[in-house]
Amino acid sequence: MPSMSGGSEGTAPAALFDGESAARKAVSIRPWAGGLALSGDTEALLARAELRLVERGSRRTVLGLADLPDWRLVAEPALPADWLAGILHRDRLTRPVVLRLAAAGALVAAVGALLWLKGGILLSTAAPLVPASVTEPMGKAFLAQLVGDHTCTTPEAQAALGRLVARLDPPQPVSVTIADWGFANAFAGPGGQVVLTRGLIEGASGPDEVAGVLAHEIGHVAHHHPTRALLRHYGVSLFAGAVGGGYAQSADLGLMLAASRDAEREADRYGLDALTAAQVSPAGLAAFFERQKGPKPGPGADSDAEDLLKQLGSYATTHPSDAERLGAIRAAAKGVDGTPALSAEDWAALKAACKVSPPARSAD
Amino acid sequence: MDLSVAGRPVGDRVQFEGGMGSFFPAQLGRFLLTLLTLGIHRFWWKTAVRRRLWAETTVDGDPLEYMGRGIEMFVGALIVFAAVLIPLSTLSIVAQLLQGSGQLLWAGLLQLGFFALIVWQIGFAVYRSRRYMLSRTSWRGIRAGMTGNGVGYAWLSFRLTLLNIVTLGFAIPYGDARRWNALWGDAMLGTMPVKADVEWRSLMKTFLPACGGSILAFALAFAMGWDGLTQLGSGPPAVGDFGALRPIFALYGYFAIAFLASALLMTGYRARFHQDALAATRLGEVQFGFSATTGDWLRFYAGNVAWVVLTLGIGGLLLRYRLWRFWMTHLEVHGEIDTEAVLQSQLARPVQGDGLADAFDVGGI
Repeated sequence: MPSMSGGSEGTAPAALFDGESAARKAVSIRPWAGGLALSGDTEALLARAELRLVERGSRRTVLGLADLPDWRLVAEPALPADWLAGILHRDRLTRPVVLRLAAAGALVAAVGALLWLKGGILLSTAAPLVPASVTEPMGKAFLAQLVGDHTCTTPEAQAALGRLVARLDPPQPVSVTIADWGFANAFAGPGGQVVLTRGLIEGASGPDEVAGVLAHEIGHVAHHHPTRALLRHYGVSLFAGAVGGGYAQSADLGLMLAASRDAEREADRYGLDALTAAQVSPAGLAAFFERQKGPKPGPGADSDAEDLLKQLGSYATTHPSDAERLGAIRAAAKGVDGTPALSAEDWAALKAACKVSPPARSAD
Repeated sequence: MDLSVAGRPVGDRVQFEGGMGSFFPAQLGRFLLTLLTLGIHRFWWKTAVRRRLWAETTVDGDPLEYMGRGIEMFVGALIVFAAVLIPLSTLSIVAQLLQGSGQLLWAGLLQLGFFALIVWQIGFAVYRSRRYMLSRTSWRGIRAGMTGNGVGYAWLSFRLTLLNIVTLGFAIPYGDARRWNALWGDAMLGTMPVKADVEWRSLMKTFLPACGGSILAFALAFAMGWDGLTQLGSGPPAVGDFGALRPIFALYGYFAIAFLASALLMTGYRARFHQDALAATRLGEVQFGFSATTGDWLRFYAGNVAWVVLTLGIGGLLLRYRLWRFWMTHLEVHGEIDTEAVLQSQLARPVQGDGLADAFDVGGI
């Protein structure tokens, strides 16, 4: 076999496959003025304009034809570069296609950027439009999945919570459940479902602290934040996952966390207004955040390192910094000189909610 | 093995000539581009990997070619989003609504239907992604393909999954054989059909001892770690109570050993399955073979783990390459193919590809 590397003279061995059968035809390639000439099992003159470069490796060159998608000329060793001059790559796009692709790409990027920056507006506009017939069952399912049977209920505690909710005057019906968990936290779900934990109530400095947290969660409900999260989950996140896989889902998570921090600020603001209107001192809410920040957990809270980490983790990511929130709350607290959020009997009933029920659990 | 094919000298008739040193840098760039495009580029990435691996593989001296395009996979993903993911998530919302409004029976039934649908779709996805891949694979200018549309295979796979649940996994060899025969039995190179008839009864001879050994290993772990088990049952021990912790650690140790032993035995079954399966697969006069032994599989898996762990995950970019190289170095071809008799494929080519498999995360290369 003559060495072909770099030379423009001579011939190069190749195999020809006509795309009709798998038969292998041995041919020699040599350059001519208009392109490449074949001799051997098949004789042909191929013009540069009709040839396409399929694969240009170090071992071999694979050529195709523009009109016959399965026709292949496989040259081994690879053809010299100057023989291939003027032959287009198979994937080379024509100018109109490039322009159209560029336009489509720009449009997608623009829509994406708009959604990235202003998509929150779309979600917060759509969330209040979801009817209660959807959000209420969703909220109950959310409650069943999150808390299940681990609830504390006594008639006295429910009555006390009812009076507290009424005093905070929510714009939509709110249903409060106490979860029998040691850590101090609270959640808002769709359909006005609010969950307070046993640890939150037992560790609270007084009823004002529970009222403060409840007012904050009612703020989430009033702003339709849980519904917004649902819409995001079933719309945006699903699409992002379908198109971008895990990569887009990570980006979406980043967006969600940013949106979540904004939502916390909104809920704080609403909560402060509601407390002020109800003549309850926001100092209780401030006390809650200080307790979250402080190194010593409340008397009722599990001192488990794991739980503490969980709290720290969630507050570090989904919530704005405590210092920022505390500042705003303390400022609001200065102007309000309220009355206790609950009567002494109601507060005692609330604190006792998990002590008596349900009988199945070990005394603790 | 044959000495010459079509006048060309051959040793190993399937050759993979790709090098890791050139593969890795290309993946790094694609990975960054995929990050920058929030994942959209991954369809083009996957296509580029296939093109490269196919082009670096020769059978009887002639390279494979992958003719797929990234846009086909992208369109496939969009179609799956609209036609599959939206209905599925609507179904799951409705199930939640029913649960929330107290209709537990209907919610449960819907949930069951939801899972049945997903099991069905996974079989469908496996078939469709294989069909797409083969329809874009060509050798000597002849395209491969599959004759079915995947519905029959989806039902077969669905029934086999149920059978596996009912028989507590003892139908695995039967299912493996039926799936292999159904998938490869539908494949063609041009006009020449592939025939596959793996015999599940002979697979049982390897599977049952492996299964028995695994059960024995776990039973032993249970028995030897009984102290730890009772210790765990009586609640968490106090921090620093090493006397109480020792039997628990011993329990975990026994279970780790049992798990390893079971993985080893099952790898033995997998090796045997692939040897049997390819030996029972033919394309015209060509018979296939697969030379990987249990040791080869274990080295392959251990190598994958080592690459990923020792490079803190970056080595994960090499896994597709390693999988392909493993397959191509162990794949054997025996017998002459009558190339004059293999004519161009007349099968319809699917327009878009892989969307469902991508959504359910099935498929390797």
